[in-house]
Amino acid sequence: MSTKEKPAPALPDNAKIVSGAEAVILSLMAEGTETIFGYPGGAIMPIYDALYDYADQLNHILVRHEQGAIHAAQGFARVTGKVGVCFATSGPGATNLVTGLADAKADSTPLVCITGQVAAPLLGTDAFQEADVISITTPVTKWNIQVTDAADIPAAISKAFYLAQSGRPGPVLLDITKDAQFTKAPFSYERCTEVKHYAPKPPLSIAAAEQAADLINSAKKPLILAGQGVHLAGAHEELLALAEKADIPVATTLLGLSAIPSEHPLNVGLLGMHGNYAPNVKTNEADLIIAVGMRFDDRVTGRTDTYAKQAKVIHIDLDPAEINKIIRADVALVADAREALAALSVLAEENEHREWLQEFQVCMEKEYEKVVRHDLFPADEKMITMGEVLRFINETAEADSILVTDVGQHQMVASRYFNYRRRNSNVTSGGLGTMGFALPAAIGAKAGRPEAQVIAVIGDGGFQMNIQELGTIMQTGLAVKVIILNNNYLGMVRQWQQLFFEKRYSFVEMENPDFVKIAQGYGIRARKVERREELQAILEAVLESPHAEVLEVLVGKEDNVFPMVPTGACVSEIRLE
Amino acid sequence: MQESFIFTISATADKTILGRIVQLFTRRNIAFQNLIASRPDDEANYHYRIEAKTTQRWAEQINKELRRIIGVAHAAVLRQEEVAWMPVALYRINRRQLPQPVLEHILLAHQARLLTADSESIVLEKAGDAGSSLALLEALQPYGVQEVSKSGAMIMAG
Repeated sequence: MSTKEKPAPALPDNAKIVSGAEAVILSLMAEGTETIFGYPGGAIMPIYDALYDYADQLNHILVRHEQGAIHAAQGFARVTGKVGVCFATSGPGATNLVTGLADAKADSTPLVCITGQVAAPLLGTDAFQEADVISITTPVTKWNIQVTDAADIPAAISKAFYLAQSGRPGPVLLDITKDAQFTKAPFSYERCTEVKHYAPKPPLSIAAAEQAADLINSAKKPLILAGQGVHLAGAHEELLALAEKADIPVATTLLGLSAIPSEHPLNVGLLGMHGNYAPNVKTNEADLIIAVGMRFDDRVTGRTDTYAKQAKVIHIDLDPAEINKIIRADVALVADAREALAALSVLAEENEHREWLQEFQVCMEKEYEKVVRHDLFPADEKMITMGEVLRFINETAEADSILVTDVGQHQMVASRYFNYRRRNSNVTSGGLGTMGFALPAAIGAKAGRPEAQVIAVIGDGGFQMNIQELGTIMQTGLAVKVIILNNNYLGMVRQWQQLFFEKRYSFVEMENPDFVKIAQGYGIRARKVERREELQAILEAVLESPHAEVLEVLVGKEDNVFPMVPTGACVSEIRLE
Repeated sequence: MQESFIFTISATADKTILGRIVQLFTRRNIAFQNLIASRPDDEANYHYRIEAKTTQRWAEQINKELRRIIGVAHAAVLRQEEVAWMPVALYRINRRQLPQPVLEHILLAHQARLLTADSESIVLEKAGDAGSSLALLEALQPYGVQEVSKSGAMIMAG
């Protein structure tokens, strides 16, 4: 051995020599990965070649576009609580992941994305399909790394999984050069359990919890705002324990939906711009707001200078950067929601808030008369409404069904009316509002929970943004139920143009293809409903079918979604018409 | 109200960290007035010192987000009066035009020092605020200033 050569490292007993590509596969298996969503290409071919040998142990789902891969991985992660994994090649393959990364970052979804990259000597040469993926993805990942040495792959993947799912979860990207995939190196795998300077789970301050409990015990009009953090922490039982013990109404954010069953007597509905009337109005009457794992998004708060000014605020969040970012907290509990709620449910006294809860009831009745009744039971002469489609879905759907929605009017209607009975049964794009999310996310959700009924409710605009993923359904046979609520409009934009831009409908009307024929072209059963009297029977047939189904429902073209908090208004100015 | 804040960051030697730091400012349309990245010989961590004009609210929020970057060991935000700071300027002068007695006088009067010299030019170094470095520049200008380089503020937190 020449003196210039590095001595071979001492190998652990379980080490073997494998290619970097095989190290990727073995590392994923060591992390318990069972499903990968991906699309091959030049710079990731060695990894796909290694995958060929493990096809009986890893389920790879071939999507039709990399954006489909990452949204599917998000859907998978959201319903399983596991890390979603996706593969893409270099250049355009990697850049096609960017929307999904941003979406997952906004919605705190744990992902590990692996992209191929040109060989290290070609970096910076504008080589074929070379893109600066690390720079491009830095703002939309929790962490990212470029790996140029095969020996570094196991540790990088181990760190990626740890970071993706610990603390506030998020997307992580590994960009692996092609030469690192080819090169052989000793492989041994050790799961990462800590990262220097990274404290994913700050300890709960008992003093702060006691302060919070004092506020809860003295409050006359408390209101819990439950967000995505309840799901991420698995704090559903603790949330109910606190709410039931102290008799506190619970409102949810869009991503907090299904944190508490829809029919629970303390569930007072959805917050935000198109949420329910009661929780929005009562936010500005409550004397205590208990915000759990939510970040006071502008769609929830409306005008912040008039938001809950009369209330004390307890803010529970794992991420210190969310405290006081939008709404000032009187007591901050920087902690895991489950731990914080468990402590509060012990410290809180049993209580009753009958009059306060009755006030919500009055608001709900008002909303029912003005909005809900017309949405769910429209007059005979009206076209089918989105709301009544949801009513029939509720009547037919299985108890553990998962609702996946896209973005727009249908999303708000479905979120308002779907009967969430099971925790983690809501999958939608919240923070980023990504049209095109639902179809691939539903595929991922079905792959993650094949025993559950997965219903994707999508608008005609969003459906066409990732329509190619029907090919993935065709190839996998995943029995996703796709309900297209077709109003031949980009409905939410049209609604805003009607209400705030003097009905100047600028490029929102859609001339749509024959969705039924397209689905049938992919070998998927498809039907179309135009008349109300057909709806229930066909919907039942669709949901009861063991196969994937596409159902197009023609709904009222210019129906609007109410209630609505106009932009720049305060939450208590929510409009019912 | 906008004011100058000094952000001090200590982080592991990860190639992506500077990009992550920068984007916290650029996404909020905040420009740097000064950025220094250094790695002391005896330390594993990189040190970043950033001066930027923004509001107190954004300064506090950015500081919190700096702390959540994977690999950041320490981050703090300070006002100018809370730090020791000093810009450093270098001046290259045509040696032939600057007589030795004049050079000695200028070095003494402006508390500058001679950094390097060759047959063609000399380089002077001056630590001090913008006013004192400008005064030195004016004093040197009659003798042929070839190049001026300023570091921005060297900052020592706390």
